[in-house]
Amino acid sequence: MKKRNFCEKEHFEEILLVGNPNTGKTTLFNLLTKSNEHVGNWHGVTVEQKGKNFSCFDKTFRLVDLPGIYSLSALSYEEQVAIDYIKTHSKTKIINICDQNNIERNLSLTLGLLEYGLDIVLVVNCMDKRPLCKIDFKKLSDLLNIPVVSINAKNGDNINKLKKILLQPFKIASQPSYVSSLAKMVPFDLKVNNKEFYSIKLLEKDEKVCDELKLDLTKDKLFDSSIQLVANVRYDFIENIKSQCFKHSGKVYGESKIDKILLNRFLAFPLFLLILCGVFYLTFFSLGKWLSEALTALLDSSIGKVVADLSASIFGKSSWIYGLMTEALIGGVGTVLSFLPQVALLFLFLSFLEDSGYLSRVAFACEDIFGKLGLSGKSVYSLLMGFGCSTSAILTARNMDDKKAKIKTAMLTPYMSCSAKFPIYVVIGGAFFGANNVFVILGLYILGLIIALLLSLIYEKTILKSKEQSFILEFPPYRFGGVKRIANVLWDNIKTFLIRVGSLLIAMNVIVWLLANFSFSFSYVPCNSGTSMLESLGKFLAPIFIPLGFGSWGVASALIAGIVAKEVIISSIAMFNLASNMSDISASLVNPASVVFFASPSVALSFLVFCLLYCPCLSSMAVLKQEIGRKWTFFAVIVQFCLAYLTTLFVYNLALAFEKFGFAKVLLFLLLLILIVICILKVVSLFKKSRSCRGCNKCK
Amino acid sequence: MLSLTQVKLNKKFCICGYQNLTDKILRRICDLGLTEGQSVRVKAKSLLKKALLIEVRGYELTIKADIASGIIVK
Repeated sequence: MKKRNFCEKEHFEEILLVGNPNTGKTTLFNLLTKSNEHVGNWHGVTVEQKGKNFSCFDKTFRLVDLPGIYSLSALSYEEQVAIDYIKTHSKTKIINICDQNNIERNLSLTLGLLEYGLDIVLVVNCMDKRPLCKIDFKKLSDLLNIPVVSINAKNGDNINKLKKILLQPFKIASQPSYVSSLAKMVPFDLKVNNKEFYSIKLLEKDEKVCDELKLDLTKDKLFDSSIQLVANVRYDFIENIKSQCFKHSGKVYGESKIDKILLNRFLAFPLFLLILCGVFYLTFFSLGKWLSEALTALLDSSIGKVVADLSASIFGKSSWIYGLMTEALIGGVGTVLSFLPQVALLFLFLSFLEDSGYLSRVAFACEDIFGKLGLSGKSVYSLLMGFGCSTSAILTARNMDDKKAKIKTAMLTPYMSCSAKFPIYVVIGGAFFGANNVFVILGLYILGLIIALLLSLIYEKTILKSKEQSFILEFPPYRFGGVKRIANVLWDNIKTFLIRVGSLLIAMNVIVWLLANFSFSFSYVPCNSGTSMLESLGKFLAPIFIPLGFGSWGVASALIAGIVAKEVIISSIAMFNLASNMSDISASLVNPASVVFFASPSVALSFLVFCLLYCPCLSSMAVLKQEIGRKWTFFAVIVQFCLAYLTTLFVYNLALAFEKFGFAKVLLFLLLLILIVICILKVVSLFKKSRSCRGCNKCK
Repeated sequence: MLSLTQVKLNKKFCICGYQNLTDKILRRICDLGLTEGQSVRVKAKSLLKKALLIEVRGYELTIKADIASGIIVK
């Protein structure tokens, strides 16, 4: 709303970008406004409207990119956002973008927009060298009675032609010929503006329009099959256009030979897991690890050394500023900074999966399992993006058809192990598990996923039973974004990471360092002297964590600081232990004299599990509040903390038992326990069944 | 007459009606081009057959088996 006011103040005319999902709206938006908004080869990447000014020769417009829609009747939250925006901006020029390869289906929305009576420019986007459908654009323009432009949103072909059309004065396009005859069928005298559109929406039984007009359609037989009638009329109109303007190659949009393997009933899911393992291996244990080690060496020998020498010569080694520079900046920030290659690689691979079109196939393969847990195959996208960053992943939950499914998906996303937690696993896991850390990290990722799925099942059976999800999802063709796109994604992620490290992380480290090195009377005291502000606070909170094995003030303080951003946990530990790089931290963690010290691998594992689960970061909480409301956010955070505590307690005691009694004995005990629980559950269910059965045929 | 869940893979069928679909879902599948008289082909099914991959009007689409069971074909 604020943006619109600004726009009115500046007299910038708005132009709306409307189209089916995955037709290239955001690609065109980026091209026109010279932006770098997130794009992907997946249904529903854009989940909220975005606006930016762009110059069209000597005039400036404000372009608004809306989430993809199929018609002017919504099925999901993000569609409703787009439709409401269009309806409240009916005097605005619209760029209706269609995919040339799938124009027949895309034109259904164009007709819907024309029925509403809007000023439309039809933009046919063709990003492939050999389109599946050849179009006579002049004839198409004549038949629809609107301007039609063919463009390539990727490289900007014909963009000036589009800009020239946008400069033409506002003029509402004429409605398609069938509109008046359909409108006449409605047996109500509607006292509204745009009577024809409302009549068609009544025939389509649009719930919002029926409520608005307070009409009951159940009594009239006309409405029994009116939805089909409208669709048939629209598609007959499109068929007529098709016969005159289109020449189709006969190939199917989205079809690929590789799908025979990737969509095989039995191979699809294992193949997805294999691909995911490959991504993690490349990111964390081979390519990413080498790059990270190289960066650490570079940082230590260059920036770290220069900053330390410089601050020592200026302030002296006994000064608190020297301590702040070496401990908070070199030790704390430097440690996190060395993970830059791995974080950038993870985002690159996730973006590659998203761009390729494979995620729609994954959603299809996961629909069975996710459906049983009260989610939809579409949730895969949100959960997978959660491995990168929970904050942006939570937003993608808007794709869900149902409000409860959206709440559930948003609440489960923070359980995915985001990239910010990875430095904690590498440093602490590396110190205690050595080469076996691969399995510990993999186990943590799987644990997060399993807990999220189990929780979804519990929510589904109790407080968040969602309606059946429609799971209507288009299959996009496989695409490779190209080298330029890879470079862009890499640069974006490096930039985002550096900004985050350079702003939030430095600020947090300075705050934590000051709290850890100054007493309540603001005098400089060494860390672990027993008098600093943070130590006092940490000692107050530490007893909570004693049952989990890590009840020291340093760990408690690091966990509290980690609520702001998870990277702060490892940078705080580096500061407290006076370590300047990864190997220093690893060595200090096993030294009993350190502030943060883990007595055994069980304690370290317990800490890792707690870090995985305990709380979403502050920015995730803010997005959660925006998406699902304050009440549900509070509930989600409390549940997550309790679950983290209980799971960690269980894991810690299990690890202690493994240490004490040996692996085989504990495993046998666990199996026996599971067997006993299954037997009890079976007996209870049989007992319940025998009490409720009144002699059915099966029993007789 | 069969529902879309009962048809053989990779055989073309013609949509001839709908049953037990809510207005919202019916409207959406019509918007997507699954209109009466249109030919449709089931190309793949998920492991537990809860989702179907179909081809209609020259593109591919996945729908839940519950919805597909409401689309009558011949």
